[in-house]
Amino acid sequence: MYDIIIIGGGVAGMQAAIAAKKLNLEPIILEKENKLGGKVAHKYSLFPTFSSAEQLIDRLEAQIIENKIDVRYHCEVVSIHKEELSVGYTLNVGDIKKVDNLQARSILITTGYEPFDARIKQEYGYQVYDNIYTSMDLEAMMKKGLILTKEGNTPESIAFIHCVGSRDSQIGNEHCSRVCCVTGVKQATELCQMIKGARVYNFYMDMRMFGSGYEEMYKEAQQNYQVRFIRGRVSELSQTIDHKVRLKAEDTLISKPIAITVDMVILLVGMCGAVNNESIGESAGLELRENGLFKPVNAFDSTTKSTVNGIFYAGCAESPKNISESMNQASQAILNISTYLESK
Amino acid sequence: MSIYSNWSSYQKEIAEDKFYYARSCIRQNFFPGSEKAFLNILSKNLGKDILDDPLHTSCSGIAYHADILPFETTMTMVARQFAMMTEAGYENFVSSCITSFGIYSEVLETWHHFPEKEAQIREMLYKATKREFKIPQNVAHTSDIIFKFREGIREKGVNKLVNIHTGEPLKGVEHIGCHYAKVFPSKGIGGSEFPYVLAGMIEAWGGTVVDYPERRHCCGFGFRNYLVKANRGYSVSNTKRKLESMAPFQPDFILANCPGCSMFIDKWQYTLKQMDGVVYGQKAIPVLTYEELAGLVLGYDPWELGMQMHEVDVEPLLDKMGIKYDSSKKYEGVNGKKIGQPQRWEGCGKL
Amino acid sequence: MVDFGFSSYKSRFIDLDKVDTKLPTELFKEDEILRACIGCGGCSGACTAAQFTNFNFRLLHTLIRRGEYKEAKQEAEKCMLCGKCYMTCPRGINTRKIIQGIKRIF
Repeated sequence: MYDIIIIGGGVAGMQAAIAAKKLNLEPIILEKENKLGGKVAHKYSLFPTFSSAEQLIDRLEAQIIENKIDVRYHCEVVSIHKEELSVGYTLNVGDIKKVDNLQARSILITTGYEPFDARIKQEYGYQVYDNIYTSMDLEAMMKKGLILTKEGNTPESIAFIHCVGSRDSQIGNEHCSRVCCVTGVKQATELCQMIKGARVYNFYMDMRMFGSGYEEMYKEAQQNYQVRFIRGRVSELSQTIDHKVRLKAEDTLISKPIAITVDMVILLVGMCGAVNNESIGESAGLELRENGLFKPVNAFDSTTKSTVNGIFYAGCAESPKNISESMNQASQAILNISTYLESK
Repeated sequence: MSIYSNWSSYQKEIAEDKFYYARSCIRQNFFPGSEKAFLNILSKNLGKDILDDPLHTSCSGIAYHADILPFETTMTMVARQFAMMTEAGYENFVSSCITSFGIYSEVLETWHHFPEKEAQIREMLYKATKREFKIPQNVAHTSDIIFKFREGIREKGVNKLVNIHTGEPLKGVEHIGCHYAKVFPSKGIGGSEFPYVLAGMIEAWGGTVVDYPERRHCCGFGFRNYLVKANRGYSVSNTKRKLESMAPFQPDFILANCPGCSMFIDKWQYTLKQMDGVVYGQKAIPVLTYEELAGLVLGYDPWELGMQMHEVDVEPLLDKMGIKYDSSKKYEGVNGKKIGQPQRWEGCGKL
Repeated sequence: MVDFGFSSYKSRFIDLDKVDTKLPTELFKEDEILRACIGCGGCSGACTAAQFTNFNFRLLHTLIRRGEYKEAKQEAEKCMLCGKCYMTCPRGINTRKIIQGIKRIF
């Protein structure tokens, strides 16, 4: 029997598996995709260093292989049996779906997050109008090295809209997703680097530069890249006849309504709970936060512990985090699991 | 969750037959053929029972919105309208004006939440007129009815919203008007964010709808704006903003829902030409009511529909649709009597 | 009074020590979520009245919260109660109710 089932092979799950091995525990990762790395694997670069996301995943993956950690791919966990400490999952290979379950001595939930579905914020016209993309879409474009409008032109003006699906009672997401602000600064800087003479705007409510080096990035974007920061939440978007996008907001610092037409709009989408959080939570009697993420025993010294014995959390499955926080919490979770297993 | 979740597929309930018709105060002056056309389309083309009752009055909406009448007076007048409907033996109320429609909805909503108000108004009406009334089963705006029967109109139609020279669908701008669904979103098809009442007609009859940036912006009519001359600049500025935004799309026509919107979007085009020297579109953009558009589809004569009363000439649109008309009869009234010709300007077909 | 040909200036400071907090509290009763306004300007960006007048819902209620009541009522008259701001507000503040409240209270 495995010591720990790790649900989700993103950065938190990978770090947890590696840490477990260091403590001579036997983990297994159940990953729903066909590769490790989770959301980070879909990113082009990482803030605040602009280093490659791929390199980080490669480094972690090398340790997974070196430590001979078991990984099962295409496994989508849908439930947890809390007395047995077993997980129910479906194995999705091609069109074939196989239902199975796996028991272990403990379970670590590292299911990460689901990006906010920008279509819900209808006034922003995502997938209705052309040339409106999410921050996830932009990372994919950057990975390909091709930033093009739908018509195949290099955009000369780009506007970022902050807090899409975060801090918004209208769509039921009260929380701050934390990393979108800095993602906006990172992506704005990169667009200025990639596209000579690009005019880049950030429409924000508050700039929350919480991490080490983030404020410096913000200053750099303002000073060296002339990214224009406008304090106002965008009220609505519309399409112009030449397939550009027209934004309306208030420039709250001068108390006047403001409008601008840009070639491309990037929606900085927030974090929501992973798709199966609800079914997992319900089956195991775990408490979910209003935003669909898991609620730990307390917010200070037990952020990795659930209210159920033997079930633990790490990474964005528990609350919105950046990469280093997710990985640190994963290590912390393994320490808590080790203590728990010894006490049994 | 917000109450404003997805309205895009929202449909409201509209009665099938047996309508009591309430006219608009201003439409008969500015778009005089539209109301007659509505009655004809419903009774002659669609075979519906509709009563055009000469006994009904204004809903008093203009006075209410201009802060001249207190709400109680307006409610009593509305109660009298309902009494006329009840006495005539009808239960489905149709209003030809969106401000009236907004007023009826507002009064019914008020009575729903404050039954004591309804009781008070019933008493006031009885004291004044000895009349009593039933609450209508269904309250609809005339465009709701045309929308409901749009497929039937298409089937019986002889013209399409297609440019006969190019075979391309004609491009229509739709403007639903604030009092239709911005007062009570659930009273309008598609709510206030996804207005489909006019768009549905344009699409059903072969045209395409222009989605331009200021699509949802108000025309600026506003009773407080146009009634006071000093405020009229505010009114025209809003229409100007809309025209500026739609002009690059080169719409073939504008379809308006509200008596005020159709009047002002039409007449302000002349004003803006005289004031700023600007014409939007090649020769200004014709503004139609939904009855006029339905009438054209069904093959009514444009002059019978009263389209000679428009400020912007409709001939370019008629030519695109391949509709025959007799230019010499344009300014002849019902008995061949000359009704007089307006001043010529760039919005006219020929100077 | 002696006219020296000059006078002392009135301070531009909003002196919170002297602000009567009762009236804003009265306004909050209309919709308590108003307290949680982020000041994002979504309302005024969407505002129809703001296109051609200096009406600004965000500024208006913020001024009231700071005790600057003087023009509040007059400003509120510019609102046409269309409710677009209500639909964009990330806090879901019932802006129409607040405007009606300003007209009544001030």
